[in-house]
Amino acid sequence: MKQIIEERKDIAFYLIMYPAAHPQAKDAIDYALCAKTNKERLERFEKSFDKKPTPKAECDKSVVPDNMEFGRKYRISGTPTMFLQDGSRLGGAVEKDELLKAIDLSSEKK
Amino acid sequence: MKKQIWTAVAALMLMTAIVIPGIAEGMTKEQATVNAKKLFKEFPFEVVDVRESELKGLWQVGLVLENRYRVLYLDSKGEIAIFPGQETQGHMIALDKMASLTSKAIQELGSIDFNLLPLKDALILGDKKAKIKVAVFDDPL
Repeated sequence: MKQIIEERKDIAFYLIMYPAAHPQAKDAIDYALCAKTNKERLERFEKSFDKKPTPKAECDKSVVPDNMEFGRKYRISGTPTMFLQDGSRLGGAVEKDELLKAIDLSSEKK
Repeated sequence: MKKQIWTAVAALMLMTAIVIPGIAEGMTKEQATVNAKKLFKEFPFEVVDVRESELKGLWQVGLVLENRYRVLYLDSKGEIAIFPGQETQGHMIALDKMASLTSKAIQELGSIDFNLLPLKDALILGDKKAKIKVAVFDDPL
């Protein structure tokens, strides 16, 4: 994903926190998402897994339960699972070129 | 006179028998070979048996592939194949595009209206104003 956003400025990835296999990641996610700006959130997100324990989140709200509920409803069984703007689903890790091809195809359709 | 009528009736019955569906829309080994070739391309195979399957309209084609007996199902028009013995096992395949209709159906089942996705609290990787958005359900660990 990082490689793609370097090369393609017209693409952005929206990471939906979905710790399906690691419920213990919830604290780190909550801490990261409490930051005010996206930049700060990303920084916290990347760092948060180096240090243990994760600092306590300063806000109460957690998006994790809602995301998990959404994922259960739509049978999102593994990560990563991607959705393109035409609604199509890509399950599992996808090669960069294959992903770009699928992205371009779906945005043409739209 | 009576005999003549019976002969006519018998002849009529015989003619009817000839055009019963299934035989009229039958599939010969040659036709099956032509259609199977769309799937197997240059790969050598031999059709050894063709009969109507229990599912009406679907032909059961027995063939030898890599020295093994295999069964392929074909529709009468030669447009659709189901081949339980490859990567897309048991999938329904459109022969013109060589595309799996089953994969497409599964793909469509898994599609979601993009606007329903919980993007509000997503972490954004890349430019917020980027035209193309990709949603990723990700486990951070």
